[in-house]
Amino acid sequence: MELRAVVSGLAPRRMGGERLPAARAELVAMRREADDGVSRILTSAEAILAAPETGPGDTHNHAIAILEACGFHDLVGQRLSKIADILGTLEARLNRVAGCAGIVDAEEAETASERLYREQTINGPALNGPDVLQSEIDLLFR
Amino acid sequence: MAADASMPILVVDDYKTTIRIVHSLLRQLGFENLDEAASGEEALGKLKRKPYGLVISDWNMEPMTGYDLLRSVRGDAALSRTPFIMITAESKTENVVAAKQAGANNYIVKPFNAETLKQKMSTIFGEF
Repeated sequence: MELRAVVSGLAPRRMGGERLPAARAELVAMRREADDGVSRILTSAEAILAAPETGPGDTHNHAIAILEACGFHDLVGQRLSKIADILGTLEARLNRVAGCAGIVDAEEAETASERLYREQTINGPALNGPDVLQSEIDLLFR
Repeated sequence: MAADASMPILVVDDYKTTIRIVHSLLRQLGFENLDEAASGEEALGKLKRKPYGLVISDWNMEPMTGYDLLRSVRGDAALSRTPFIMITAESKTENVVAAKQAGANNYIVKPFNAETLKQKMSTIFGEF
């Protein structure tokens, strides 16, 4: 297969211009949502620690265990950042390839999951939170 | 050097969640005079404005890393004796060795727990 056809098969314009940026945006959203979740957990654990110990006497120890467990989030965040950096590099390189004269993305067959997502207009969680508020949905069902 | 519960402690991390966790654990250990910085530069500025009894810093920050901060602290005559603990995800031996050679009093690999933090502080301040 000639080199131009191989490069065309990589669909560098779509990959560098759409898919990789979309993947990076998902990583950013993932980190933001995890931040929000961990922040709420920490707020509750801090409130427990700020209150006097009641009951069997190990409530504070459990709250400390929650705080410690939340440390996972820092590591996950660092790993997500590394992945996002790698995708960014790949994106820049593919965009350079896409800029080469005469390179055109090859037609791609739709995958099964792409077809399902298209037919059912589903796309997973929205990047910036729900597109429609639950209160708006509730109004539609009244 | 004894642990003074009122000594100011500076926690440095570009990740707010980690600062919250470390602060909460320190409060449980009896320390209430807690401060924070989100970067090496901010930490160095704070250290130059007031004395701290302990610095607990992440390594992986940009542009001034925790390692750069440590070297700046150790290279400044007014700050050089400030106890410094590195708390980081960097777990390669070469990192630990470099931090020790640069003057870190101790080194904790993330994730960590309250007991580890207390143990490492005890090696500096004695049992508390």
